[in-house]
Amino acid sequence: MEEIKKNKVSEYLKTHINDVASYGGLIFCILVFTIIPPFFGENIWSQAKLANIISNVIVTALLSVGAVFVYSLGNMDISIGAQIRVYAMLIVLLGNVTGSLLPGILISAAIAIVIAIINGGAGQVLKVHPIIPSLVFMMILQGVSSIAYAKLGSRNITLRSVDFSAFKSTGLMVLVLVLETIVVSYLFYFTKFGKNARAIGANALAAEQCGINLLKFKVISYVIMGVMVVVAAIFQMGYTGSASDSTGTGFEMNVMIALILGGMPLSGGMRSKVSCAVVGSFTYSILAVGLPLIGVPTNMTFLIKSIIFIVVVLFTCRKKNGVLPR
Amino acid sequence: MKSGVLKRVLAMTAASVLSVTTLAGCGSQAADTEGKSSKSSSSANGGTILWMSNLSSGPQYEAMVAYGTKICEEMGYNLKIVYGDGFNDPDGNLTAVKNGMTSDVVGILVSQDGGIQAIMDEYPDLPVAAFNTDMNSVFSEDANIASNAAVKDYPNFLGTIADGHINGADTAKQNFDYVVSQGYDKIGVVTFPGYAYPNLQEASDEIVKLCKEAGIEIVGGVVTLEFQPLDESYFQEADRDDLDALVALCAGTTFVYPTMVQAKGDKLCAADTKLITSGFDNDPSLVEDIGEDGTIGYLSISPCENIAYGLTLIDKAVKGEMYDDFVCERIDSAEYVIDSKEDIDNVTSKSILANNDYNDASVKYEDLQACNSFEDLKALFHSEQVMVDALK
Repeated sequence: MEEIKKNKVSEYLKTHINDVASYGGLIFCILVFTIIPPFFGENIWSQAKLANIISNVIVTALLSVGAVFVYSLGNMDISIGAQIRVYAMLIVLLGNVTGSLLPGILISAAIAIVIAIINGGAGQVLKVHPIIPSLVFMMILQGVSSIAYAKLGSRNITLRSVDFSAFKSTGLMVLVLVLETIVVSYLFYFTKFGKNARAIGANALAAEQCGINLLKFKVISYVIMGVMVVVAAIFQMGYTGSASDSTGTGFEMNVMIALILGGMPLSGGMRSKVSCAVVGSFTYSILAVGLPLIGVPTNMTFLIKSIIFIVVVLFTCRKKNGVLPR
Repeated sequence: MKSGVLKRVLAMTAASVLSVTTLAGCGSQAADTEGKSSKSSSSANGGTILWMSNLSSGPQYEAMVAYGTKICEEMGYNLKIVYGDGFNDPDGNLTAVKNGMTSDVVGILVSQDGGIQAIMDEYPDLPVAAFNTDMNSVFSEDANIASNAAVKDYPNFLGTIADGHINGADTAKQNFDYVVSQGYDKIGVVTFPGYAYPNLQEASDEIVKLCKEAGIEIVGGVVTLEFQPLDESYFQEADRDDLDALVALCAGTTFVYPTMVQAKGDKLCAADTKLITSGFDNDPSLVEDIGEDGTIGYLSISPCENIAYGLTLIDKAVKGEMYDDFVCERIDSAEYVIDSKEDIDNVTSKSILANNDYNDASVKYEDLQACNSFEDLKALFHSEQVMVDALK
């Protein structure tokens, strides 16, 4: 009996090591930053700090949740940051011209869908690595924003006539994140979009031979992410009511870090989960907010975050029998 | 339990211990530092001043940290540093301040202007002062599209002391006067983009105008560096191989000097072409190359002691002892003007830049205490004692 129990525990740990590492990491951070800060006269559960965590986490979490589809394919999109930059700029510029955020949001959504269709389809149609089209878009969008800001004569632009204070509301941030997570989870777990995306990530050839239209489901996955990028861009712009020529810098890396911290297999496949995005984003943000509360100098926080990242990666991303976990 | 899983569990335990140890180590290190601060100044219980720095390394940063920490100790505060966004992005700056905010912070010192309104909206009860930034894009409502509210109108904003001049035309005049004094008539001018630094755009426009009036040729016109070092091909353009001087309105010691030295080595640039610029680096080879016989003929540096200007205003605001004549304004910085071997020798041996020693600072806490009015404070930061000649 004892032996059977041990084997069950062992088997559980073996099959859920990603979950143990990612959820364990988040729980560990929560415990550490709950216990230690009071010794420094701080409290991570104060209203201000909770609001700070949410405002830290919102854009990365929205992007990461949206990116789950693409990552489950085993792909990644490195144009996310540049897209955020351009969409934020459009929303501010058109907001100032029209007095409403809607035109900027709609145009951004239209551009995002076009980019997603090309990003998702080009890899399949042109038989190039899926990251290449996103690399091209990253450069195009960087060029566009660079030219635009040079023409504007400033590195940052601010909403002048539109009230954006709603986007700073912690309640709205939580609500939108929850809604997005529910919608994406539904699509990911209970529709053929998610099932087929994971199947493609697990084994594209087998998926194709089972009759899955690779092009169609890859494009759909990118479109879902594109829409979520626009949602994230709205909150990014709403943080300070502004956009700059560096808005979104490194966001694609933040998404990657959050997903890996959350236990997402980089090669995609059946083990991909929406919860990876949420768990990873919160872990990353809690570290950013919590470390200064325990007296860690800012320049040390990067080092500590990297150590924790390495530890999680060692658990979740190591090859097994020469193959990445999927 | 199978050995593979056992290994993982052990590794996880080890990693957790490592993380906890690291966290505890860092935490106790900070606590130790605070302890030392308390020892050296028993009055360091007035809270913390949070400084959002635009630098994270280099001799000026090190000197500012050492000097600012000492001044804060004397005033009764701790100085805590967070790093502003590398691109001065408003969101990045706000996040840096929010993440670094602790309950004991009593004031905020900023060295970047991106997102300052958002920071002050977030912390309306904390006094905010600036230094090393001209706040050009956000100070007044008519500044430009980057501003939807003038920071000067915020009751908790205490003004700024710039890195150099707040007015680009004055920067141009300063460099132009040196060009004229040396009898140069064929120069180059490089700068950063105007959209990023509007005052440098003003400076480059002004220097073009002044040179035209004086009959001084700017070979090939003003060249804009998109935050990349000057390319050596600059000196291969027509007539640029024998310039009298190259005026770098941007941070020339970083973005121009290395290329210029390389170009001289490659015989693309005349050996006697001088660099006229601002900024500081304590790289021995660069320091050796400053002065009459060096590549850098003229160098201006804003004193690190400027940090005390902002700290003093925050201190006055926190203690409710603000000067009666205080008005929120932007002021120029005094500058170390280095144009001789003697000057640079003095700066690198007798100023706080030499060894971060508070005793070598040109402005001491007692000097700040002696200021009875805002005019006194401004005068102190433009007095003879903060000029390079005072080091003689």
